Amino acid sequence: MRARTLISILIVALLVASNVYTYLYFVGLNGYLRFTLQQVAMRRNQVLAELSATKFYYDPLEKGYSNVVESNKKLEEVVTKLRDDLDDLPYNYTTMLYEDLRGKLLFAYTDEMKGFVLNVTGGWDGTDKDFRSDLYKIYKEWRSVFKYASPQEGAHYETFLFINIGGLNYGDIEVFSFEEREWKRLRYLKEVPFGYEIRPIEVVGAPISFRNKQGVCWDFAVALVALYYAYYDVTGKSLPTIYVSIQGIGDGPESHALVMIKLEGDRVAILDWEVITPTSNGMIEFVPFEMAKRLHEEYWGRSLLYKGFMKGRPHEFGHFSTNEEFYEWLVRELR
Amino acid sequence: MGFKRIGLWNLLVFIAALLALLNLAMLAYFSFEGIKLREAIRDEQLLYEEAVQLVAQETERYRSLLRKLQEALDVNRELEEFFVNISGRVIVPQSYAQILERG
Repeated sequence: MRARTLISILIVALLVASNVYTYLYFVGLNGYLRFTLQQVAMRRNQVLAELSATKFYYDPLEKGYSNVVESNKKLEEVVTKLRDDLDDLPYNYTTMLYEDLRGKLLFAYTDEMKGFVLNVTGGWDGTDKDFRSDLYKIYKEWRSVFKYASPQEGAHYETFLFINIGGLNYGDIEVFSFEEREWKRLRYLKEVPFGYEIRPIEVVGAPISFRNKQGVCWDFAVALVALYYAYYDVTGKSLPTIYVSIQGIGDGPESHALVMIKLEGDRVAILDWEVITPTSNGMIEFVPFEMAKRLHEEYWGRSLLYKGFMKGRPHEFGHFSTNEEFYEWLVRELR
Repeated sequence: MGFKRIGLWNLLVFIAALLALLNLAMLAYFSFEGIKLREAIRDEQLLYEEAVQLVAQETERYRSLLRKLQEALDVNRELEEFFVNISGRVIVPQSYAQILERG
């Protein structure tokens, strides 16, 4: 009997142990499963948050995209219309910035001007005398055909067309950059609020002055410089030749234009309405600037300020407040 | 004493039976709970994968639109360049253009 009781106690003990083991085993296992479930749920929530954020970023992106596309469409319409207008022009053309054109047209010469120079000089025989004689002949002939006419007496300009864009309006869009994890502000051309205009513009320069063969001192001087450039190109020999602007010292703001040719150092020839510096045997003579200036002042009967210059090849211009400044520049920089 | 002995043995048998039943009940309960948890994990995993796929799709949709925006901005820049370059330009007849390099 004792043995049976002992066995029973042992079985009971084993069953208790089994119960405890089963409980602990399943609590552990199911606990792990619960933890896993939580982990997966957490990951899903994170992904859902990411999804919601992506959707949140999408709306402004979509709005920004449609804004840019809409702007592009409007801008392309303007471009097409502008191109159509340009295609309708009855002549071949090129376009350039006004400042570039101004500089290049100022002292350009036409084939007609080149013919004029060749006709007057008969070409160059290669001697210095003939060169200086040709410079004088060109001046003399141009002076004889040029007629002074105030701007009121007729237009001294040519009308070209000028393209003007009224203004550019810009817009901003914001998009989220996943790479940089931040919002980015992007600028784009939103509209051309006033569209464009192709309007006439007045341009001046030696070819126009030469064709008109009349005008003010400005027309006379720029055309003469261009005629000399034509001659230099024909002969292959050249001297620094500039358009000079002068003003009577103590006078008002009125300016006068003339041509100056530099030989070397400070030796120059001044060609105003008359040849200021001496000529001999139909040749231009070059004298020191001080002498040229004195003769020039005698011609005008007043003290003069050489206040500015313009030249081509390449186009340059400058202003001076004193004659000393002009002299320094003439000697040191004019090539 | 004999009654007591018989009673103790019966009690032990009863307890053993109870413990055996409890064990079985625990096994059944926890196993059932384990199955339910595994199913929940599987479901959750499926939902997670679905969500990951959705995010990938949305991200791709976003990136695709971003690329399109980039292209539209490139076109916009070209248009801007056109307007900036053409503005302030003079239309020079070819007859004049040919002589400009002489000046």
